[in-house]
Amino acid sequence: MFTESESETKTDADSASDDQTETPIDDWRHTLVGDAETAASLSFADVDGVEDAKALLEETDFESQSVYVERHAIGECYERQLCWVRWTENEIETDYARILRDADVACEADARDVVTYLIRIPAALDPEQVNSYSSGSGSGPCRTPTDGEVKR
Amino acid sequence: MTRSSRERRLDRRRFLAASGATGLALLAGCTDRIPIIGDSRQMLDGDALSAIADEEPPTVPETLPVDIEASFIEQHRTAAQSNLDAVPAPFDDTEIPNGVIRERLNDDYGYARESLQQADAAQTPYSRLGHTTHARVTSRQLQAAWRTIESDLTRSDLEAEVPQIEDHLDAFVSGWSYVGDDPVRAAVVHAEIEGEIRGSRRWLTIRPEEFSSASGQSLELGEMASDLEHARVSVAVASYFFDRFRGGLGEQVDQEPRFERARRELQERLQREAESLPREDIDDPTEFVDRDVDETAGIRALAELARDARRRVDDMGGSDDGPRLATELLLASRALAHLQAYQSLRERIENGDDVAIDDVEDVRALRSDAVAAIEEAREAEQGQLLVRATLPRFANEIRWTDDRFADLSGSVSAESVTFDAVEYVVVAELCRALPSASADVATVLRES
Repeated sequence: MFTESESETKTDADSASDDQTETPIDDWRHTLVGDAETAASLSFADVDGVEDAKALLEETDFESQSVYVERHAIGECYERQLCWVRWTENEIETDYARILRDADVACEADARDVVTYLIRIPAALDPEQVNSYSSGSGSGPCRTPTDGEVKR
Repeated sequence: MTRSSRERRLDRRRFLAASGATGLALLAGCTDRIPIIGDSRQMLDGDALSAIADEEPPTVPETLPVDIEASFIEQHRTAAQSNLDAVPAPFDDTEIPNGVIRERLNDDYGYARESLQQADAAQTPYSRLGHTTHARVTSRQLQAAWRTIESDLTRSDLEAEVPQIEDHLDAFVSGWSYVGDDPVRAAVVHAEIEGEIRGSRRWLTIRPEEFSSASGQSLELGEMASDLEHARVSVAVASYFFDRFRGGLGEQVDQEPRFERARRELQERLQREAESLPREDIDDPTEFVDRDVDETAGIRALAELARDARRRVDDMGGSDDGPRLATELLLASRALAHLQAYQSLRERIENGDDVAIDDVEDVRALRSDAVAAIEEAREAEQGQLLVRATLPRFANEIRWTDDRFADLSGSVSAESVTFDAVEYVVVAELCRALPSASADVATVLRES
């Protein structure tokens, strides 16, 4: 069950501050988009990667595919790399690697970015049926899922 | 500190009454020895508790019965200073724009300098050497990370260091043997050498995929360089200790057969004495004593000593991470101290001392008792070499416990205070038992 495609949009934590007054920026958020109407209803901030994200949604065939949207906050000096995603008709699980950016990348140790991933899943999952979501992250290279289901 | 059983039982009844009918119904079918974990209503003065630790605990500097020359320590200081001089630390955001990397490297710079300052203030050459080699390792981490940033160090450079250090280690180990004249001194010194050998092998265990994944990453390569420096320093220190020790011997006798015999005898003795420990399936430590007593600081200390004693006895001979023959002789003295401390505390409680905490003065008394026990052990002539090899780590426990009380203020529950003060009781009993246990092990060593 490999991810077919993914898209990443990054929002500077400061520019997302309006949203953050109600939800803490490290609050993990996610949604599953199972049809074109829902995809069309999504709104986008003016941030890096938004065109790729829109294209991913437009090119998704919701008859056989779905898009999992997941948002995390991450330290400004790190990048997050999707290692794998796995799913059943009731459950979606993701795992990321946290990688320190190069020394010459200007960033502050205590500043945070908010990053939203759009992950195209090659299965037409029903958002009403998926009732369990989980996500893990570790430093260093990607880890293999414990049950041996290697993804991506 | 000592309270009557009658008063204790009254406390217990009040607690049960307050706990409600459901609790009573559940407990009624169990036993008449109901464990009570402190009195959750009782509060102590946090400010008064924080003042308890104002008086510095006795220091017990780390020592080794080897003449360590100032010139050897200076070699490591020079290496550390050279590493520090090679970097433009502390760094600002123009030198390292990435804030996480900048903070980590500036921290390393601070730690290395602090270790050098601690070395200057150290009371013994052995302690001074420890701080200095720590500075050397930390400064190497800093220097390697900076060189990686400057594209001046690669993972291949570090990979190439591994076989060089392994060769030095193998060459040392092939020439090392358990020589000595006095078997007790020999055991202490060779245990130290064994520890350096095991440490060096451990630091050298870097998997190829770890090198691969760290490629180009300054912090990861810095950490690997630090591990390798640790291994390198361990070989140098082990080699130096052995040379200095052997060079000062009047008569060089192979102590290995004696060490083997002593280890067997001590293992048998520990197994026998461990039979007096409470059965492992007893969950309620108040059952460890033949007396009606609540779960006081003393009872909790008793449980901790029993648990640690059992673990230490079970761990004897159970590891295969490198040479441990002399190390296990020292571990035997510590296991024996735990067993004797357990017995001593058990008798103390059975003889009427609850070792309970009802007010701040009880805590102060427990700490004073621990301080006195450390001072007595420090001056003890019984088993002195083995005592000196162990006492610093026992004595350090009192500092860590002091730290827990240092920042208290307002009201603090007696339950929480009891939890922390257990270590004062453990330290006191261990330090009182250590000279006798050490003397026993010394006797076994000399008579084997």
